[in-house]
Amino acid sequence: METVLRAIAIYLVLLVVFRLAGRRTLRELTAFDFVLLLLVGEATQQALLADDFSVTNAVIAIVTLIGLDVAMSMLKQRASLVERLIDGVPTILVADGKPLRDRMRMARVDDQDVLERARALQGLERMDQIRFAVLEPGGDITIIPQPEGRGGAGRG
Amino acid sequence: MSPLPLDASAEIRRIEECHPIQRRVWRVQRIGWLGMALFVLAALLGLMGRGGPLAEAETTTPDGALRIRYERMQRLGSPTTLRIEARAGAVEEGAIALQLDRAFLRDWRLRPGVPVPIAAAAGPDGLLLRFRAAPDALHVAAVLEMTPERAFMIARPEIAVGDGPPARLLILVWP
Repeated sequence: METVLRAIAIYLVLLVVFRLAGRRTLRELTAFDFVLLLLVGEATQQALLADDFSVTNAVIAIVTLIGLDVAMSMLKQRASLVERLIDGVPTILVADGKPLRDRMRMARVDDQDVLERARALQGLERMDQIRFAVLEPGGDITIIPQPEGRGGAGRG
Repeated sequence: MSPLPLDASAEIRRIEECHPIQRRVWRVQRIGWLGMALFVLAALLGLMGRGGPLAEAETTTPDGALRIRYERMQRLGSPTTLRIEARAGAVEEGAIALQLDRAFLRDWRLRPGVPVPIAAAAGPDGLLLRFRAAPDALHVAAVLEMTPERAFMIARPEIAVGDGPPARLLILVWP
C-alpha cells in the first residue's frame, strides 16, 4: 500500500511542479536540462522505493505511475477544463507581424525564439513576414506566414 | 482589445478566446514560483528538518534534572538523534533511569547510541532505560537514535528521570 501512496504523491508533486515551472522549461532539452532531469529522477527514486528494492515494489511503483498517467489522459479527454489547466492552451504571441510583448514576457519567449522557429519552419527572416506565431500547449512555437504579397515589402 | 486583424480565421479567433484562461494560468504560475521560493526558504531555515536554525530544539524537565536535545522537525523513515543529559543528582545506584512514554514505542523505531543502556524494559507506561553513570561525573549523557514511523504527526512525547516530572518534546514529522 505504501508504495502506491508514495507513487501517487510523487506523481502529483511532479505534475504540479512541472506545470508551475511552465511549458518552456523542458521544451528543448539542452545538455544541462537533461542532467537536471536525471537528477530529478534520482531524487525521486529513493522516495518512491524507500528501502525496499524488490521487483514487486518496482512493479507496483511502475504500474501505479503508468496507471495514473492513463487515468489522467482519460480525465483530460473527458473534461476539457482539466486538459486546459494541466496542458495549458495555445497562446498567440505575434499577430499580423507585431509581437505581443506582454504575452511574450509572461511566456518567457523572446523575438529570437520566434524568429528561430520562423526560419526553421517557414524559411522566414523577419517578424513582419509572420502573420501569427502561436505558443502551443506542448511548448512549441508554430508559425503562420503572411499571405503572398503581404509583409516584408517595405523592408525587403 | 483584441490584437487580431479583422480578417483572422475562425481557428485563430478560437485560440484567442482561450487567452483569459492562459492569463489565469500565468498568474497561478507566478504564485506557484513564490510558493516554491518560500518552500526552499523554509527548508533552509530547517522547517523541513535535517539541519537549519529551526530544525533542532532543546527542552528540560521542570526540576532541571534532564536536558534533552532533539530534532523538532523529523522525516518519515529518516533517523534522528536524541541527546539526553542528566544531572549527577539524578543518579541512583550508579545509574540513571529514564522513563520514555509509550509514544516512543508506538511511533518511532529506537536504537541505542553510545553509551548503550545497561537495561531496557517496556511496560504499560512506556519504556524504561537505565544508563550507567561514570563515578564522580557531573552529568550523565545518553544518546538514542529515533526514526519516525508515522508521518503527518505532531507529537508531544515525554521523558522523565524515574518518577520525576517529565520533559515534553514537540516533534513534527514530515512524510
